[in-house]
Amino acid sequence: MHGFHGRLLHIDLNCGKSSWLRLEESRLRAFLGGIGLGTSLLYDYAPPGVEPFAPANPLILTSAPLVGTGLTTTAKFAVVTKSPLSGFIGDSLSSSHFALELKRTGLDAVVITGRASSLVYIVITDDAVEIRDAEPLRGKTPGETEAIIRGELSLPDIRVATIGAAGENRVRFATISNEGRHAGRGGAGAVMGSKNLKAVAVRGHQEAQVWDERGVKIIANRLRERSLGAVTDKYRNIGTVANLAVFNRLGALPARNFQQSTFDEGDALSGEALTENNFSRSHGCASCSIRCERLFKALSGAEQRLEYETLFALGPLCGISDPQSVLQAAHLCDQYGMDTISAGGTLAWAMECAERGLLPETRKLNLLFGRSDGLLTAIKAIAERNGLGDLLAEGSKRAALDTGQGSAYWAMHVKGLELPGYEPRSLKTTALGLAVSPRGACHNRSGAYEADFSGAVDRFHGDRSRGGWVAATEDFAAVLDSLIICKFLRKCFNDFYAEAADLLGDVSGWDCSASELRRAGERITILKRFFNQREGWQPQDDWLPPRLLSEAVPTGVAKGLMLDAAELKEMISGYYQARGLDENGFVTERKLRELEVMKALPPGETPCQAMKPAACSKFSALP
Amino acid sequence: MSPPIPIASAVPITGSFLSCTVELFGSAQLLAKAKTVSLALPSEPTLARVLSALAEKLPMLVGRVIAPEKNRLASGFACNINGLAFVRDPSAKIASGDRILILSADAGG
Repeated sequence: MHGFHGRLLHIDLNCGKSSWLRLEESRLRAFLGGIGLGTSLLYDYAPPGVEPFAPANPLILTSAPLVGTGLTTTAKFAVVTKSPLSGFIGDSLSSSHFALELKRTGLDAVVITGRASSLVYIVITDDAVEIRDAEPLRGKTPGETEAIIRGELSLPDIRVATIGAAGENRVRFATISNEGRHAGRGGAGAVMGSKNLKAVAVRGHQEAQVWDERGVKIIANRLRERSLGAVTDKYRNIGTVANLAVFNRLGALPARNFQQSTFDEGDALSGEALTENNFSRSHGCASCSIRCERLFKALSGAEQRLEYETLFALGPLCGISDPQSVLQAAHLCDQYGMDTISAGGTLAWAMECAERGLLPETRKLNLLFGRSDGLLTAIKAIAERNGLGDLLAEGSKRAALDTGQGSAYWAMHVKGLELPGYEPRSLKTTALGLAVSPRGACHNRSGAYEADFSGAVDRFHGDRSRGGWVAATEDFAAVLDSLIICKFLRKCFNDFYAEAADLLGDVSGWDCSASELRRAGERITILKRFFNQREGWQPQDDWLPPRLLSEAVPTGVAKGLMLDAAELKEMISGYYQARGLDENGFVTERKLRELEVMKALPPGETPCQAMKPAACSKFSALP
Repeated sequence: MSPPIPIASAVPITGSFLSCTVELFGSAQLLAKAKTVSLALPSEPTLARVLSALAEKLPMLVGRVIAPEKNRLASGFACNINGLAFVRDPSAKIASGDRILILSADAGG
């Protein structure tokens, strides 16, 4: 097998046993790797109806065929589980050296089930697995944990993915962190914490074979060259923080918990101002030529990474206009291991509660729009589940259900996942993308916003045709997330599916076509929906928060514009039709057969013959 | 941030003309060290004419933001009129008082 190892490692923390299993080529070809492979394994390994924090809920780490090929932006891995925020699929990507090292262990996937009796971490080195005591690491930050594990193992090159205190405390939007990057959305860190698993460390020496090294090198060089051209200018020269001023100008920047769609005090937070006043240096993931990361100077002298979504969620969404406060809040979220979008969304919900006289403790904490002291105190309280923080650690959906008094009206989530920084009322295609996304309100699993920001459609009016746009962009994202290629490289392809098929063919030796890849993207998206359906999805889950359908765009160039329920319903209907779903959005048997979804899922993995017999003897079972 | 560049004619003013304002975002703003630029243009100008005038006034944008031909944007950039409509056609008409936004063509992140 080329491009893959054809092996999966299953670790059961209940009994401390692990087994290496063969991954069938048919599954890999059908679901590629990354998010696609993870989705297929989630479908197989998660018992139907499993509670996200139950030991049986699998935490799945997957690699992908392009990882380790040297192709720019491909050093990524996926984390897939049943999300404790949504109760549906939770899939995230993270990047850099951990991804490369995971693949060098000779594995395409690691499936972790069960729950250890005390806090542990797992060490995977080539054909050996060890489970070690992590109690001394309790409460440590991701950075501290990585350093301690490296020292403890005397392996300076070992790579570590870990949770912070938020994951240990099952904050439902906790992340898994590696090298300062995060598998951020959906609460995979909380699932990891529920397994009493502090970290996974990987070190290996097994490079996956590539079918045609010369062919891969030619394409890799071409893409690297394009990645340094004009289409990536924003990412290379300012980073994603450039979005803030643009979105503000276009009336697409949610502020004060979506009570505004512009932020008047946003000047100091613009990417341009941050670059002029606070820029420290740029940084890139392993194997990346774009280097989009921007590190900014905090008053403490430390450097802090900042992306648009973090800037939006801890800034305008909470009414915060001081860059240093946003940097400090981002730092705290990183230290505790929390998704900044869900943290900001939940805090903004609480701030609006305070504004409306609910949750008296918000006033004690100064958890009010524009108050950075309250913001910082509350982030800490969430991570530690102290006082009001215990409620907010549940995310805005559950916090609102618990609080009642109409507060669900201003809980800005879809399927329990808080909205990203795109105003759906003035970006109608985006509105549809957010409503129907299998993982909840997500701007990464569909690039629906591209239609709105390109002028290809009228962003102020929705219609049935948007269904096709969103379906196509979901499938595109599914292929990118499964091969894996960073989305910031997407415009460097002249004909994505054809070029990506050539690339996969050169890596794997398969005779791939553009249509096969398109079909794989559709298959992956359909399986995500089918998984959700099995877990109880209902048509009302594909919907937007009531505020967005009741209040006109409050400020900015689109002021007064409405997104009404009929308009959204029409777009959703168009989406279901474009997807080949039934009229209520359910995946049909016919669609499953057409895409050969079940055929691509083997009845069960078999023990891997490639496993060294001695491997199990190296395994340290828990006492 | 430097103050907006003052209104100045980018072309000889003979006969009727109109004024418009270009708003720069992202790399364009950092390169030009200006947030806005006012332009005076012959009547019924097109987007291509606006870009040409902008290139004359801010030559540092040529090659990075404005294509070397100076009548269209480089591939990573987009144009929006008044915050409302994205315009890709260089022959699109510009009206007096229009505000022309030059921004990244990539909204991702």
